[in-house]
Amino acid sequence: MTNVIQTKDLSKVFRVHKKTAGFVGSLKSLVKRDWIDKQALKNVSLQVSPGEILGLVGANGAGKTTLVKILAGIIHPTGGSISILGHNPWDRANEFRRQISLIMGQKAQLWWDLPAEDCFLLLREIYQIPHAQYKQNLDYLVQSLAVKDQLNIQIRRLSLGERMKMELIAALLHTPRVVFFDEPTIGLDLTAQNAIRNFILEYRKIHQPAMILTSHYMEDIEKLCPRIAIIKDGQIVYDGELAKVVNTYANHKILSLELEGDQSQNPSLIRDLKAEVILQEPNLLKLKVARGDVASVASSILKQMTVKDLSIESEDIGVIIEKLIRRDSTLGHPSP
Amino acid sequence: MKWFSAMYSAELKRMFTYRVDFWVQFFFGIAVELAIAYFLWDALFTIDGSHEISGYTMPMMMLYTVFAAFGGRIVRGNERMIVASDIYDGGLTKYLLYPINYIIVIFSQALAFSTVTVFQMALGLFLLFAIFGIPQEYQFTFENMLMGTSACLVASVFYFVTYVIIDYAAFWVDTVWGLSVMYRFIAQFLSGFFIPLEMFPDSLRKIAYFTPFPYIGAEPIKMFLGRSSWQQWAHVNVVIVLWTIPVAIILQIVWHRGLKNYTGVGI
Repeated sequence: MTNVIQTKDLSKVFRVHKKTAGFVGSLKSLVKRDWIDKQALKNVSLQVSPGEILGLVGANGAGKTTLVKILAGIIHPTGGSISILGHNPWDRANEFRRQISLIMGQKAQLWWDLPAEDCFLLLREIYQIPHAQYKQNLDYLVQSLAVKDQLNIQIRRLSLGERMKMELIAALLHTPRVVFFDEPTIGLDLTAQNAIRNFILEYRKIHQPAMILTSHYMEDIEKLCPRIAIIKDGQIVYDGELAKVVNTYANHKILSLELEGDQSQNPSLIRDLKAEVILQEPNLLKLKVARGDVASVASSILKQMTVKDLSIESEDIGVIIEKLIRRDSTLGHPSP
Repeated sequence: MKWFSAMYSAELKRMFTYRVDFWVQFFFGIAVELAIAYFLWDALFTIDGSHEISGYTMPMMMLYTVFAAFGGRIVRGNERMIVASDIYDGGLTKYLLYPINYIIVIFSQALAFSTVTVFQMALGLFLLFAIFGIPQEYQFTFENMLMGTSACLVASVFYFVTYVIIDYAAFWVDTVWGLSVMYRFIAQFLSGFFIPLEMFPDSLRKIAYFTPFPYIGAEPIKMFLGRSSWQQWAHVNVVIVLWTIPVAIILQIVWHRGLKNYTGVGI
């Protein structure tokens, strides 16, 4: 399938003013300033196909948002090449801008003093959406996100969840072929988070846009992104399937046991198990076990203790990714 | 350019949303300006002891102040450092995403402000003339109003491009407030919005006329006061257009250079 988004060796260097702390430092900066170059992105190469959702994962300041801003044509890259739908984003051709969208969880794009419906009408003119298509799209989006009753309320008076839904509508009214999500569920309650995730999946099914999503919520990544790119210090250190991250890098499994009676009656057994105790309560036991030892540990527990329920789960994906982010070396691609 | 009228009407809607702010800003701002001018000129006329200063009687001086206040608002539009704020807080980002020209968006907002000011001026003049009467030596004509208002609207385009260039400095420096205030002060002083240019020393007045500023202030005010002809009106507008073209070209160059420094803060 043809890639909609393609970057090669993309880099970005920011020049940052370095200021010494204190009053003397402030005085000195009036006369002479020191600048440092901060490498925000280094040789980033990636591709995204239509209908694909790529999750960009990384710590704060890793370069995720910088990458999204460059891809959307907001900031100028220092080096490398980009092609999105055959356009260089930095040229900001109107034809390109009519086909993309950026949804920012931390930054309102709608006009705060106007009701949502007025904002949408304004966007209809900006994107030159034909009336029939505008009506059809708006009806679908409003119905999917259940915000019909809030359309005539000033944006500033909406709750965060309602505002975010309006931002989604505004960003998708013109049916973009490329959508960037920058922390779309940040600060939202669980119901609103789920509603937005489900909506994104449904929208993807119907319109098949290429999407890039950044989020610190692992649930966003797990539910929406079959593929992730882990970015660290401006470099992509992993680009591949999310499931493979678990298979390749999860060294442990979590054994959760519900026990009959008090398991503390047999402390020596627990001590002898090749496992790390995560939780130990009278009727509950949670163990972290190396993948190779899961069968033997489970078997010895079942032989020597009365177990009401047992479950074996993979390590939390967030923990695995965090470990990967912390590792110093480039991880490379997991073996297929 | 249907989106231009949509942006223009959106700005009007925004201005009308906060009606208390709308009326208070209008009446209070003008009232304070006129009150200060009245006490100042009254004291000067008393000290001077003469009937006229630089060709203005006290009633005509007050009328000058009224037209300078309204005309100045039309010319200056909503000079609230919007562009600089957009650069600093990342508000520019959304306009870079939309398939429209950012500067035209900002201009549509400034034009909406100027348009509303024209209607406010009509209402303000009606109230002032109804309460204080029309000075005997002044002949109010709609022709003078049309001449003055249209010259102010043309001047507003020039003023817009110049203060946006100052705002663009925000791409490079951490604050442009000082620069902006300095520009506004110089521009308004040389335009004759503070005091009539006739009161300037000859040399300073001559220097002022080498700049575009008298053509965006003193000259349109003369038109309101009935001291200009259509020929002068044409001359003033041609001068302003000739100044606007190179400044607009510089504006474009600065925009493209500055944008490379934009970091899109806030996301």
